Amino acid sequence: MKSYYEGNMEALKKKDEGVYRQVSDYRGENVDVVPETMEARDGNKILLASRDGKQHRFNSAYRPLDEAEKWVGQYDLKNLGVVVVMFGFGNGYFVRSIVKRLKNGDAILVYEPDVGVFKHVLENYDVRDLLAEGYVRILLGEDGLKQMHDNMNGLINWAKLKFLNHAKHPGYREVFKIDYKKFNRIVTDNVERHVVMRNTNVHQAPWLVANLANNLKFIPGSNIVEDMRGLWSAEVPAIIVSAGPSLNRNVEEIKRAKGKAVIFAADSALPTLRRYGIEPDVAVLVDARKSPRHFQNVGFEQMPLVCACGANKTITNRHEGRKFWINCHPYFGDKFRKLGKDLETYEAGGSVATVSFVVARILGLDKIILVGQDLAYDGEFTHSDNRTTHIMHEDAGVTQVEGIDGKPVKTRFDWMYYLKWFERKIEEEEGAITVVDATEGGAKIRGTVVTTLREAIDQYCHTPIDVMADVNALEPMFGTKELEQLATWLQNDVVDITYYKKAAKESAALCDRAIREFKVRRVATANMEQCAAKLSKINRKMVERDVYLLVQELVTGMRADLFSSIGEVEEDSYQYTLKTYNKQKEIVMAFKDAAEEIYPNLKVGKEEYIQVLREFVEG
Amino acid sequence: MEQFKQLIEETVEQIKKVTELLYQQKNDEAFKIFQETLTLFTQVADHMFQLQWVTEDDKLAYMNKLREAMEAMEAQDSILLSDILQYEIMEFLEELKGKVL
Repeated sequence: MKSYYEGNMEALKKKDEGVYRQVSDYRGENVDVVPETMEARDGNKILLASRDGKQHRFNSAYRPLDEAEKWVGQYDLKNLGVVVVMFGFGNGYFVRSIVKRLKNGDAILVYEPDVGVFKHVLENYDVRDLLAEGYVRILLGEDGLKQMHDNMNGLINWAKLKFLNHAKHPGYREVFKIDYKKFNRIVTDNVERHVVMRNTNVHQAPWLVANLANNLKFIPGSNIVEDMRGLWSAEVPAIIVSAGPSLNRNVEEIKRAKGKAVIFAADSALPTLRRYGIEPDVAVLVDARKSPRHFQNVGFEQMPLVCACGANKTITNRHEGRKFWINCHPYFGDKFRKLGKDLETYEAGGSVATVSFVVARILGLDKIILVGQDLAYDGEFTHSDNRTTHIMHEDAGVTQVEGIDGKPVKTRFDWMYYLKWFERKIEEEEGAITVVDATEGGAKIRGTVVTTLREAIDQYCHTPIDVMADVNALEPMFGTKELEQLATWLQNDVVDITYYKKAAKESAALCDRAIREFKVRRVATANMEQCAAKLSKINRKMVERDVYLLVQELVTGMRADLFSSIGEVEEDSYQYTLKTYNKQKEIVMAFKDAAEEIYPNLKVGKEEYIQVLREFVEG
Repeated sequence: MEQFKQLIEETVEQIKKVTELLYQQKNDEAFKIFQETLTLFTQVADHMFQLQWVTEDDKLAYMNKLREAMEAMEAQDSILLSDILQYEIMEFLEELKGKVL
């Protein structure tokens, strides 16, 4: 007969090879926490752990299963698409209480800080049901903590934030104080990031979609960022120039690095660099609504441009050099993949500096020098050249952080967010990269080596390179055959987008019919089921069109309120049914409105693409 | 007697509220209500010691359970406190209520 350990490990191996290896490789050396199992008064086993000479219980000493049932009552798990993020696996009793209440589409991510405790549980309890359970994802120990962000990203989006439950196993916080702090920080950061994304999406959606349509014409002759991988050796440093107030102090030094580093320029740093006669190697543009004034008279037109697909068309239209796409919007990314271009999506932080950092890592550069990365005020100034740019609700988010000299400096909430991003990324890649903060001012970024820019250039910038020549030698990512296929798809998209008007009319009529029937009968009837089946069919047809990715972007921006309440379940089933049909109507009307707004841009975008394609083929 | 019965019922209701919060780790909220529960425990004790039909063993058992609860509080073991309140004190009081004529 198999032992608990054997049975559990068999299930674990099928579920997660990584966690399985963590447990099987565990040797139990230098442990801080010693686990133990005893019997509760009702005969069920309970888990305990000793730390620093004190014993802690993780379950009720009387009736641990009843305790778990009472504990789970505090979480709202009735909605659709619930996500639970939990600190501590324990012996599985509490996890099981949650899992019992989950439905299709729900998920639980459990972080167990101690490999030894987890192994003890596998040896003493039968948790095969939890290990085999599709809803459950387990992250373990230090490695697991590093994977938390990516895992949370995969589970939640801004529309689902309402249904996110943050749970902690009783007793765990007291025993694993430091781990809990780290875990909590990651969860909080993740939630904050999704709130920022929601706000960005709402704010930028109409411009983003117009930009996407416009930027189609730049696909011929362009590349993705990954195509630059391997162009330069890891000896070559990346210098990321941002427009913090300290930039004016040391910007002239950058001249010495030209030709010996890959110099990335955040858009707002371009004017300062131009004034000092410095030409960066790569410009970076990600915002859909970035002010074009940063790009006026700065000589960026021929520079390689790392660019989001939805970046401001006023600027992309002005740029003539090679474009490298990053974090392609699914509307572009989907088409690229079908044409054989394998893309990744990166958690790129949201500022041009963080995007530049990600690009440097994609390129395999493991020495990164930050310049002008104050992430703090200098007096009243926010940017180089004594500029002050205010943001919405700025005063509400002003706070103090440690400066590079140990003294407090004033920062604001968006900079704090980027500061934490850098620190997290540096921590995740500890040992693999060297990040030098050569800003010579501003907030302290933990994990960086603080030096002057002069010292950084002396130490790291030795290998001669010619970025422009190397980039120009790259073949564009698509040849004629792929580009012509793309032209066909774009033609289809322009036709398909007209479907949404028809879909809205049909759906609205069906919903009205169902609502009328339901108000009279108060129960689901065969007629209503027919309506539901037809609505499902219409929804499927809407979603399966490629152009859905574009329409959805605009709809979720225009009607974020609709999407963040999808999945809300009401106690009163009558009201719930009526609400569902009314919401369905609202959603299809929103899709119709979005499609009508997009159509003229997409038509022009397609025509311009075809014109450029002709020139590309003839050229 | 009726008054004693009502006192026990009130105490049991308070214990239920406190234990639900403690099991859900809502300790701050739980301890706010627990202050009132302590007063009720004292009142129950006062009544018990005046009633001749309550045995010495029962009186001693009750006081021991209260002491265990206080020890759990001092040890900051909110789950143990909850267990003692629910499975020791509350069950004891329910039995006692059954004996009230």
